[in-house]
Amino acid sequence: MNNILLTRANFYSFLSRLLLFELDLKTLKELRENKNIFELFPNLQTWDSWQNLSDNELLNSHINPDFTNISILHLVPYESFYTREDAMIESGGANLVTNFYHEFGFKVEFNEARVVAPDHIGIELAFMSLLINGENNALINNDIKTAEKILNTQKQFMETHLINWISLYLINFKFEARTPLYYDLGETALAFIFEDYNYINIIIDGKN
Amino acid sequence: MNNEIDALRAEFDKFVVEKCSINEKDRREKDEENEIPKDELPLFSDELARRLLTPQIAGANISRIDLKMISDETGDNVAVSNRNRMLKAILRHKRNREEIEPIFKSIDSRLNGRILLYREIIEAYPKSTNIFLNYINKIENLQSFMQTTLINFAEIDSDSPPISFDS
Repeated sequence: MNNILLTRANFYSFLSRLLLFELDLKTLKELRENKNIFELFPNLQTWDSWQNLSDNELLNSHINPDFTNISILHLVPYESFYTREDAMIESGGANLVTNFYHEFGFKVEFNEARVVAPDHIGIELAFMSLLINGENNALINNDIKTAEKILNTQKQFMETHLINWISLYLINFKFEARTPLYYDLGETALAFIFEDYNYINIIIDGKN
Repeated sequence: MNNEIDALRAEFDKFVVEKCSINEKDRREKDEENEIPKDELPLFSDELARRLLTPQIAGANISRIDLKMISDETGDNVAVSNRNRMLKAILRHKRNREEIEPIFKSIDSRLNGRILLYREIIEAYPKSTNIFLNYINKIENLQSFMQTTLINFAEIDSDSPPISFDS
């Protein structure tokens, strides 16, 4: 598998997970055991609670209340809120992200994902992961044409949807977070998405 | 004694029905009850709410936390609730330019903070320039609207005589 594609797909998946749901014990343990965690979340190094509290206490007293506060109570993690002139969430089939999803057989399980619309930030990031995995599979099968088509779809999806609104959400997410975990997540997610957009453009321009 | 208890029970049941009704009409009437009366708000309030609280128009997301901080800075200390209501609570009873100016200044300060951030992002990620220039443009339009509103804001004193248009 192409290492860069693997890394990109996995990172989109990682961001999707952290922005879609509150942490559970399993995910927290994985984060705490990850040797590279401080590269992505540098402020965790100096956060006393991260160093000293048990998993349960950290989760229940700090991390999950913070996630609930920013992702559910105060901020709206749905694209249509930021792109519609009436600031409403488009929860129906008229939501334009579904045009992309349908083309690639990507179906949103609303109950499982606990979302009310298909343009939740976590869902859009999961879709990017799917596209990148699709690109990689095409390359493995020597289907260069399909791989290029999927790469172009990634660019289109980012331009039509993701980068049109995500900074409006993540800027507030970062500055309203009360834990270093989510503060750094906001920063890291924003940086990664724009770096990736830059990367995609370089690759496509190189091919042309 | 039994009559008193029955009366108390009836009063309690009435209270529960009024406070906990899921009837759409009752809910709407209650929402209207909680609305700030229009005559307690400056005339520009609705338009400001539309421009400031719609990210697509404002070029920024002004959240409840932003509004809470604006209210704390201007000494209003409004309760956290829906953003429209919070903004109107901040503007409530403000009748002259001197009272409105600090609010606009606080809003302006938050918007300028966003512009700074956007410029940093443009510098770091030049491919994102169009997106953030668009946001900056929207913010500047909003700031221009606020400036014009403040300049044109006419103080209407409650003791002023009626305005005659026939003389």
